[in-house]
Amino acid sequence: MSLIGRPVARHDARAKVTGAARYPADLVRSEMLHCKAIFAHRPHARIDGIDAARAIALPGVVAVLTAADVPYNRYGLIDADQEVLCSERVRYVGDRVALVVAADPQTAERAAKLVEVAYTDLPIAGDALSALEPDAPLVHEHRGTNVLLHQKIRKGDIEQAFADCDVVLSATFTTSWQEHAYLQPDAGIAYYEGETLVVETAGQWLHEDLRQIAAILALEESAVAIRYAKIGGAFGGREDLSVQALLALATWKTKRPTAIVWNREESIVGHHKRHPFHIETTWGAKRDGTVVAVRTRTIADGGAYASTSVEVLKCAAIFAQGPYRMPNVATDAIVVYTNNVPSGAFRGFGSPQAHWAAESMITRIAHALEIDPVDVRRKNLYRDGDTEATGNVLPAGVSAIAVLDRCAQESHRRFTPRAERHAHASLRRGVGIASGIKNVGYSFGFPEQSTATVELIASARIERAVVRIGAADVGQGVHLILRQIVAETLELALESVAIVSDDSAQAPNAGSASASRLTFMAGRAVHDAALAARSAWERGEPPEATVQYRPPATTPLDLETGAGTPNYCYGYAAQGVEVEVDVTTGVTRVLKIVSVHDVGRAINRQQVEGQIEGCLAQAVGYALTENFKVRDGKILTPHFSTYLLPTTLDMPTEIVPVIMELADPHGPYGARGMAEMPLVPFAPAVAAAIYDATGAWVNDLPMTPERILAAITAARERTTASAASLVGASSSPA
Amino acid sequence: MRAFEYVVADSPAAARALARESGDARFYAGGTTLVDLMKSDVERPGRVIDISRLPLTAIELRGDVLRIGALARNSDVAYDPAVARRFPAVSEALLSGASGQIRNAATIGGNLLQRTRCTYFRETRWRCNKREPGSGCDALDGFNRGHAILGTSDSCIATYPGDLAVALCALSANVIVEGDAGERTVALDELYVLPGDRPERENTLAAGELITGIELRAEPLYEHSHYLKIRDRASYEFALASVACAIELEGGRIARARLALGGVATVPWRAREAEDLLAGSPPGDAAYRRAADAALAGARTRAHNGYKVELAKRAIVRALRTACGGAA
Ligand SMILES: Cc1cc2nc3c(=O)[nH]c(=O)nc-3n(C[C@H](O)[C@H](O)[C@H](O)COP(=O)(O)OP(=O)(O)OC[C@H]3O[C@@H](n4cnc5c(N)ncnc54)[C@H](O)[C@@H]3O)c2cc1C
Ligand code: SF4
Repeated sequence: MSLIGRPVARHDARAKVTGAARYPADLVRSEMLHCKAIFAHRPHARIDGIDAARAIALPGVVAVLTAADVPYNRYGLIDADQEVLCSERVRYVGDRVALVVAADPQTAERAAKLVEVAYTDLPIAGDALSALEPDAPLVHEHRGTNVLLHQKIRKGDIEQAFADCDVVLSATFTTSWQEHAYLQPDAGIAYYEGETLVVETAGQWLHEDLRQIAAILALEESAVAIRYAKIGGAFGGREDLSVQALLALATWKTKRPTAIVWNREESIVGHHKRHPFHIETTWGAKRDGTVVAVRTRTIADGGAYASTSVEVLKCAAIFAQGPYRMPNVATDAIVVYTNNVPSGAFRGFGSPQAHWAAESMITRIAHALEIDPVDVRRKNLYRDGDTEATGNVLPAGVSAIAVLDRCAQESHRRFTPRAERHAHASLRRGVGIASGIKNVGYSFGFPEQSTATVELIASARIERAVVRIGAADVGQGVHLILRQIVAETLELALESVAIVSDDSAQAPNAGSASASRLTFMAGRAVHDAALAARSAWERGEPPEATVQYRPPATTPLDLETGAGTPNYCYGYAAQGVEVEVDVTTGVTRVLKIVSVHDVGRAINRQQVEGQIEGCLAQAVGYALTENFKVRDGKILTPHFSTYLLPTTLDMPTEIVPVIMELADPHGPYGARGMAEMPLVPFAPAVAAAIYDATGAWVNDLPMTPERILAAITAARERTTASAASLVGASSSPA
Repeated sequence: MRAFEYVVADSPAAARALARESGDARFYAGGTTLVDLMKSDVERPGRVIDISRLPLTAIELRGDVLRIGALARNSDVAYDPAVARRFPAVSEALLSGASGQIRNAATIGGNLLQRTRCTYFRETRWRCNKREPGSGCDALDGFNRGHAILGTSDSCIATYPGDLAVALCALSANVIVEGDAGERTVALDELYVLPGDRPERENTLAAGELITGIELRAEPLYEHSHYLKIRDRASYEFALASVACAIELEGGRIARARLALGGVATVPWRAREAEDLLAGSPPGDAAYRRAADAALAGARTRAHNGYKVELAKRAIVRALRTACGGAA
């Protein structure tokens, strides 16, 4: 029987549920040296001096490291604009200025308080809009501007198109930061194994961590190995280095094993977030519901360092008009440096923000034209053969309409009928629907590849296989997926396929666990390597093969026009939600979710459902409760008592994951990625449902009770005012 | 966390003696407030006196008087049949607070003395008059959506965060306190003091005084008491606004009413004027709304907490409706 689609048990499940699995903090042993990072805790300042004498004098302190100890003090995923330990200037509260290395955690903490750093505070660029002002303080002076990227996309004749529209609507939307809130805060150990410096932590991409750490220490990559323990969630938050570089530095300097364990506050202050966006957008449509023009200006707060901002903003730019065919487009996507916590990768990567505006707007267009929002979407959704605003033809396998139709059917069947939604005076029910698109894999010409080695143990027949691939299992279960694919391809039992994955020295580069890409990319690499190994065996050669899989190429976008081929694969989603709004208090509960995803092929159905349900919890938080607050660059919500993740009780009891399998031409067994998609259309679906319940639109995320209440009050005042003016008009003397 | 001395008290008298001796001691009951604040360096006791094993856990109804030991756990009290039947608001308030795990550890005495959730108070890098008298208040012009609109001063606008005390306030509970001069009884709403220009002083307990229990007098009215809490998420979160109330009807009119507010004031907030307005009125939204307007008449808002005025009023109306439904 085929293994594809079957919910076979995860090999790491027992250890995880019994507590035997070892996460990075479980690797710490007391005889290691313990590190404590000294954070700037000020958003922008010049470092005038660091006096560590009193700290070093403390018994048990081994070293206090500063910028001078870092061989090459520059790193970053795309732009190396960040220092491991700051030399002259700190640019956000989480910047590290020194690292205490001591015999035990208590001593390290005490010593950290004795390190005296003299600062001169500098004026700050406190938010994206003010950072654009001509006289704004510069976050990186040598750049001469705070603008990190201004990506334009131009298609058609936007002015003429608006002039010819029957309805034109404009609105301004905002979104806030979102914290990854992975269960295990950043932690790890480093040590020497012979001549090799080993850093053992949790991350999303072994070989990229390796590249950056080797560069920082000016070592050959062969002198360093990165290992991953079990990873307690990542969601993009472990793409950038956090503790890894500190550990590597400490062990390289002291030649002794070192450990670091961040507490929750250090993790929240110390790693990047989802970008807050300010979006101004105008949509124009014909009377029949055809949307013909979208103009968008998006300004995102990139925080103090580049991280993956430019890629996130380009993604947001190409999705400014959602998953819709659009003859006329003018998009300006701008990301600016500020003295806030850096923004970077987070599940969805710019797409949730873009959809917050786009999906809200298409529903408003539908209402303005008095057409069903499903029909307007169906009319405008991408189809096979359509071109994107960037001028390229969409990758084959466009399933947006089928996905929407399925979502509409399921929602209709399950949701409270319209007539009953307002049965209760203060608890109003409403339903909403939204569509979504998100790329699978790297975009815009970023080198995309996945490499795998498969070794067969065979005599008369193939008995076992060992797969080597450095793909991070961040909890999503990709290791099981890869074993399932190899077992299926070689017609082996699952137990006969072993995977070697968590060591950069033992497994080739799969690329990162991000962009919903590993099932597709790593899955295809192991699939192809398995076939190649079998052919070698059949030819009587050593039964082993290493295969690098490269998908169809993408290209950078032209900065001025956006022309290019952004992506090689997309995932399509649609969601229906039913909410209950307490119109007296604004408190809103999500009651039902239908989440429909074309996953190409579900390699393991249960894991796909797990991704949908888990991601929806993050989506509920993003839409309603997670209110990350920053004031003058300082984070006001560095604890889970003030940063409100949804609890189990905030999740609906009725979550319906609908998995469609419309095969992708390149994915292994037709699979395409899906792990980010449930976050993409969710918030606007909730906003539409709140509108259905109350007649009020909320433009700002998260939709907290007081924002909803304010929107309801404003909508009522508008209705009363327009009723009054109607009365006025009819009673005015003829 | 700073180093501190840890001692276990084996009797209430010993606990007080240990406190007197030290000068900067704190009692450790359930520890759910204290330890958090010690970790974040807000509380810096030199000595921590563990009172968690003192035999003050009884919940007893004697005649009309319910006495609850200060060390009774929140969950034991909430599920006690006498409490649930005679004082439903107390039970509802406790169950609306924190999480199951915390309620199993938290005690009644500790709950009353929990400290504000004001971010600027709980994070030592900000200025806070309550934490460091005279240093200023970063909440006044900061992000203050959670802050109080009643009972504030120019020095402090921190919200009293607890739920239990709001219910006890409405039901006129007494707090039993043991000090050097022996036992004394304090009306619950006299336990707390408004911030004024000394926000560091939150209650009328003298140094080393120990809360040994609370007392509630059962009245028919309280059997229809109700606690309503409005918050950002469904559990594990403090109130944006909360209402404890009780109503007694007689001959189609409200004979007596009790009303207290939480989440909007610097102390558990008894709304006596509103109670007086309700007494004698026929039940119904008009009377409730009038009472609500009176209760919030003195509200003073800041940049982000203005919504609380209307929210609290609506909560009052809704809570009174529910209580009246029960009383009818
Ligand atoms: C995440 C979280 C969420 C929460 N949510 C809520 C909520 O929604 N609603 C709510 O009401 N509460 C909430 N709480 C607060 C919780 O109810 C209190 O922490 C708890 O009730 C305190 O009781 P304790 O016994 O643990 O007190 P402790 O931490 O032991 O003591 C608190 C203070 O009281 C003093 N003290 C304790 N007992 C006595 C005594 N007998 N005599 C004199 N002084 C004493 C201590 O010295 C200390 O200063 C929450 C707490 C947390 C951590
Ligand atoms: S409101 Fe009170 S507790 Fe909060 S910062 Fe101001 S003085 Fe401190």
